[in-house]
Amino acid sequence: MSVSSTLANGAARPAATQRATAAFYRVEVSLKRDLPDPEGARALSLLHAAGLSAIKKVRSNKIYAVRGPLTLSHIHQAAKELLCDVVTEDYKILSPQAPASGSRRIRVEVWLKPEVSDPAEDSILLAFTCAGLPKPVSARQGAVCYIEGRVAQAALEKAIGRWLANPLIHRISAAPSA
Amino acid sequence: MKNAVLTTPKAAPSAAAPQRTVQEFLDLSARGLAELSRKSVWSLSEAELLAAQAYFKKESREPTWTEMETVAQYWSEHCRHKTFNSPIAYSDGSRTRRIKSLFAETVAKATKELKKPWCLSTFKDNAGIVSFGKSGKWALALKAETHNHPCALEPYGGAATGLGGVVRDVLAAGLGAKPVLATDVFCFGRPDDRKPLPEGAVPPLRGLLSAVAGVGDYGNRLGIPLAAGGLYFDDGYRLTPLVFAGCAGILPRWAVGKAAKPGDLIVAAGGRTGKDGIHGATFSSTELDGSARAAVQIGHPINEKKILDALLQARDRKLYRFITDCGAGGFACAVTELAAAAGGARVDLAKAPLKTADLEPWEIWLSESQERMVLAVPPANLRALEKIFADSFCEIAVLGEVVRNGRITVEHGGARVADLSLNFLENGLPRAERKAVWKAPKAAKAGKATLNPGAGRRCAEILSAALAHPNVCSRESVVRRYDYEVQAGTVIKPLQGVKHDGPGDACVIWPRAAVGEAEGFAGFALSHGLNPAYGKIDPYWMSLACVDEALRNLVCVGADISQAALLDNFCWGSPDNPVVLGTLVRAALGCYDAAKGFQTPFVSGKDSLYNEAKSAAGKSAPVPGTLLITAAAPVRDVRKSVTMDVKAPGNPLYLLGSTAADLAGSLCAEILGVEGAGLPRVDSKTALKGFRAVLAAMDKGLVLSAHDLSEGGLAVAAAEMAFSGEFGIRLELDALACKGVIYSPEVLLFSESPSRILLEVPADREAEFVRAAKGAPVLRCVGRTIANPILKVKGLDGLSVMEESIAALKARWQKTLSEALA
Repeated sequence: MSVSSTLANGAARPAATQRATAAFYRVEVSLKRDLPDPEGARALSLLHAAGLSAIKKVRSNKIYAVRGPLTLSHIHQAAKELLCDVVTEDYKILSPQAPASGSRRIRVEVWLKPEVSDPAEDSILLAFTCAGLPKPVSARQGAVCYIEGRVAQAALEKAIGRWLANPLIHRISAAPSA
Repeated sequence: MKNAVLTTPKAAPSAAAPQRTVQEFLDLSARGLAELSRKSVWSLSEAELLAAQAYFKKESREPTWTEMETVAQYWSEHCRHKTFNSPIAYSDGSRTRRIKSLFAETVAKATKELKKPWCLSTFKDNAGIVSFGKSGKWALALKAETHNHPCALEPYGGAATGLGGVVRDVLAAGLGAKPVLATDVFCFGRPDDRKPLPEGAVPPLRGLLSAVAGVGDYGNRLGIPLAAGGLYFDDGYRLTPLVFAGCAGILPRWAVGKAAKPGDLIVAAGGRTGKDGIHGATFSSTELDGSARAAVQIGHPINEKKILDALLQARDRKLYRFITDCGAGGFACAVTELAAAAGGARVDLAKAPLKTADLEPWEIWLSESQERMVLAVPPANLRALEKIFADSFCEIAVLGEVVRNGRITVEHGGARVADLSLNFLENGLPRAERKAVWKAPKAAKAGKATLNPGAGRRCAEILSAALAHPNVCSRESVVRRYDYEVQAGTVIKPLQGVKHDGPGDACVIWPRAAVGEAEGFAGFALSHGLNPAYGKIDPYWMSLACVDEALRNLVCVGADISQAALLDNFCWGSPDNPVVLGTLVRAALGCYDAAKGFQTPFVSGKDSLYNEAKSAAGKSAPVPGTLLITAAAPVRDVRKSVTMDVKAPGNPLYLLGSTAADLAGSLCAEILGVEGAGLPRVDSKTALKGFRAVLAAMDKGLVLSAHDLSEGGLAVAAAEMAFSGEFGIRLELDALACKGVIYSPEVLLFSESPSRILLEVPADREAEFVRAAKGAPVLRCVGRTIANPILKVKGLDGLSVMEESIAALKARWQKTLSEALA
């Protein structure tokens, strides 16, 4: 399992025992690289159906946003034990650093809008408690797609809004990725 | 024209939110009222607004916002079925007939007249209830619902919560039934449709994928087998898809009745209340125009499963006296219905558990947050109920109590936000007469088939195209997404045959896990009938064909249709259009005649109207008038159930029913691009005799396989039976019993004459079969199963019409949908 971690504010990693009051973490969970990604294949097929035939590859990940009195070690434990299946998946704690420009990959994040209740939240909060971790204040689940191929960002966002997400309930953001 | 002034508190509601009134409501003109209704998404007509205004004038006060919202929800088309319950002047060209209530004079009338003693509860509860099993201890609750408007906006969430809603309906039937079967039927635009769509419309392929995923994700988490359903594609659904979800559940006979008493506590159980789904009921009572974005519901299947488990424990301990689910209209409809049944209620919305604190009282009252139930609980039972729900990690909250004062009183932390007479809500809805006009299109009139034999294409080509057609091809890629084995009672599964991939006619469920005893081997079968193509020509004959098809599917698995119960789901465009309403009336008249003809009552149903949307060109596009018939019947001994795949070579094949040149609305006519005449017309009396004769033979074990003839006629049915059983079939067209003289092999092979079933009979018991099925008016041996894996058809002249490899036919049949959805 490959693991990388930085603090949400980009600072050096604190001691695992350090207390956090209301820290905010984002955890991205991906299938191991050697495993096929059926959701990504489905997304690729739908984007081709939308007319974006220059897209070559789509990789689909899950992403979680968790806020609460959690230390970095807590969030690593939660990622390993709750949010990720370590046999088939890897995770990383995301840095909020600006994505690299000029990249051939576009990273798309899809989240339920803040006013839409996330049915996964209850389960995540309960799972943290059951695992002996501090109960987060809030948790959200989203999706991430990495898209390879020549495509204009505006056209991609429009296609995603029509074929992979729903702008009525989802917030969609696309940006070049490292 | 005066404008209503709304006083809106800026701060989030506190423990005692200020009452919000619709100021100057009493002084508004009819035009002003209409404008207010439009802005507020109330979907109330002028007459209804004036009736509400008159009520508040009598009360000498302006209505509160919550009160007007309550009226709008409670009087919505979705909740009150105004079209089916209002007078209609129906003109069919020759005369005008006054219908006082379409519901009472068609669907319900048939049930009333048939007086079946095994119908325990019809049309009054959340689901229809019929008796089940021999012991007299059990009952079966049945319900099918639509979730069309939510699915047009958000197909994943809409389909998921559609299933969740119908499961809760069954959970609230009587004092609660344990769900043992879920179903889904989808009508979408063709998945390969790439034509331009208006802004915000969901492409049909994406909509279908999302709806399938929604039902699968929600249903699979509930532990209920999803073992019956269907898919239908037509351009008429590309903007407004139809999503039907159904559920069947088992409950003890003692739990069929329910009645709340004064002093009972009104308890909300399950999920918390949020902003999701506000205005769902009124939104679904109007045409889709993109204005009602808040009406998207978010499902939480784990919460529903927790409620389900807790409620059934509480039911068995008799801890509550009444239950209903929070569906369209949320608490506003659920609590008001409870109050209407019990004589009154008083609730405090500040006691409702909320997802977020920024909800106004009217939003709490109207929210359609999912997975919530409302119970009437004797105070002495509250502690025990709390314990059961706490053990299931499930919240409950006491909202108020049942009182017998004829009013629904709603407070929020001490402030009264609504106080309405139940008599006004129940009986104050004005019933305006609507106009309906039916004019038969040319093709609906009887006539000879216009199909030019062959039309330049060989029978084999037509068959190949028919098997690959989206409305016939394999549904395996969808069916496999669903868990249809959970509860270990699915005796006849949706996919059948040697490789478990053939198209079954109906599922058979042995609900042993629910009854907790073997109860002999009693089970039940459930099937569907749907064919909007016939409805485009004549909805009356569509209704008969749908009932015929649903019952025939039950016969194919060996269910006892003498105790079959029907559910109706009408999905139509705007009833404000007299022509659209004319077709709806005609379909309802067909339902009455079908129910009477087949001696089969309707026990529950639902209508979904205003299924229209604006096309890219700005034109209003209604869906084709669509009737889904769901039929369920007991299977006395599930071990005798029959599947559709042929079992061995050398067995005679019998065809029940006669073949006519019925090609109007047929798949063959569509493939050949011809109009086709001769709409299939069901003779229910003859059909019923045939069905009974087949069942008599099945009961003696004299039928090895049975398959109904529907889209694509005899050729498609024979091909499906052959490739599912992996044996060949030889058909002889000169053996077919025909109505009139038919020379064309294409007509004989692809006619869609109703009430026909192809049966495989054991060769060594053929004479016995003929004796057992002697009551069948028309039953002919039309061919044999053969070891050679081909479908071979001999024409009237004795020459070969077709000889196709069943493997090649199967490959064609399997390709379409699996490729489209890949």
